Amino acid sequence: MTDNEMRRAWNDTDSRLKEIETHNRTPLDSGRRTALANLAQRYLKFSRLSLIMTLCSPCYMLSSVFTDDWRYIAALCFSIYFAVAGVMDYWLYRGVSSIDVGSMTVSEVARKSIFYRRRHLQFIAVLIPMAVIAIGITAYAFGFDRGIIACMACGAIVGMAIGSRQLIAFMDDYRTLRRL
Amino acid sequence: MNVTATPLPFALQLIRRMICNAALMISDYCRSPERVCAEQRFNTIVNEHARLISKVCYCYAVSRQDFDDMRQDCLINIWRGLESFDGRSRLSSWLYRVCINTCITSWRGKSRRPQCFSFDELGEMPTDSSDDDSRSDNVELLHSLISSLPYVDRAIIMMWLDECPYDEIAEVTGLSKSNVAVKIHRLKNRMAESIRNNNI
Repeated sequence: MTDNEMRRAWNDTDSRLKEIETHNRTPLDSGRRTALANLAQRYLKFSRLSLIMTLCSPCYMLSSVFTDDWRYIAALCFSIYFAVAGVMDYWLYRGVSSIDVGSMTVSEVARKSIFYRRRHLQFIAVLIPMAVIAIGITAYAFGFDRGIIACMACGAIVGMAIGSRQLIAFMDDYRTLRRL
Repeated sequence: MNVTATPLPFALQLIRRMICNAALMISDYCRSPERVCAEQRFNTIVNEHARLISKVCYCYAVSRQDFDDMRQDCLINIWRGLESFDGRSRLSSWLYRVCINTCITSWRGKSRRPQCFSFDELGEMPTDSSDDDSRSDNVELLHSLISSLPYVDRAIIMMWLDECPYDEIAEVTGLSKSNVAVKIHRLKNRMAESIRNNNI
């Protein structure tokens, strides 16, 4: 394809889009939130939720199902987990909110956008082992009660089914990000 | 009995009055000359540059739904940013910047879906002659080539195809003019190679 052919094809795109514009014009939905604003809001929501969970985690200490030492360890584990998750989400919220599509250059936006998406995936990679450890400690704290172990095994099977699908999507996303 | 019943209607009346006042303020704002003027300006710009917006969205979208979402996001960002647009750069440059940045920030893990989509997904298109078929093939080929490029490269090649000067491309992308020239040369070679190898 020569330069002229490319430009001709591009002009054809132009004229075909003009026809689409006249046939399927959609009006502006002024109440809509952009994808970027939605993402920032989601991070903020999760960081607030994590903060609440961090504050609620010490309630494990009041639980009578744990033996004396384990109630403190479980409470500490979950507090640390939610605090870390909250800090990560808040950091992502601040970063995503700092992107200004009107004044930043395309390179800057692309760099920031890829950077925060990559960090998001890396944070997930950190949080998953932490969650596994916290749940493992809880299981151990229950003293391997048969009923509890059966419930946890069911949860683990469902979790693995959903998790493996998410993991494939996650790896795909990460691979794509490395190309962009 | 009356003593306990009195505060509730009063509070309700107060809330109702506050809601009415807020509604009046909003309706006054909607009818204000500044608002009408801003709407007219926005409509003129969007009508004049409708295809620029659509073309950018088409090059970044991976499905019809995605195209519509990106277009709406672009329009919203143009509407919100129009007030702060100081006119120091060309309007088309600013529109390119807003639209490309919006499309880049709208991308969300869609790698498992097709990388590009055909015009047929956008709507019913009339075909007139047999010549249209080969031209249509070229359009689809060009689109798939552009869709296979990284974000910034897509922006550069789009603007080059629109015959934007190198200065303008450099301003929008944040690269130097010489870097833009080198990149365009390399991108053209890369696209030509992709066609030769059928590696699209």
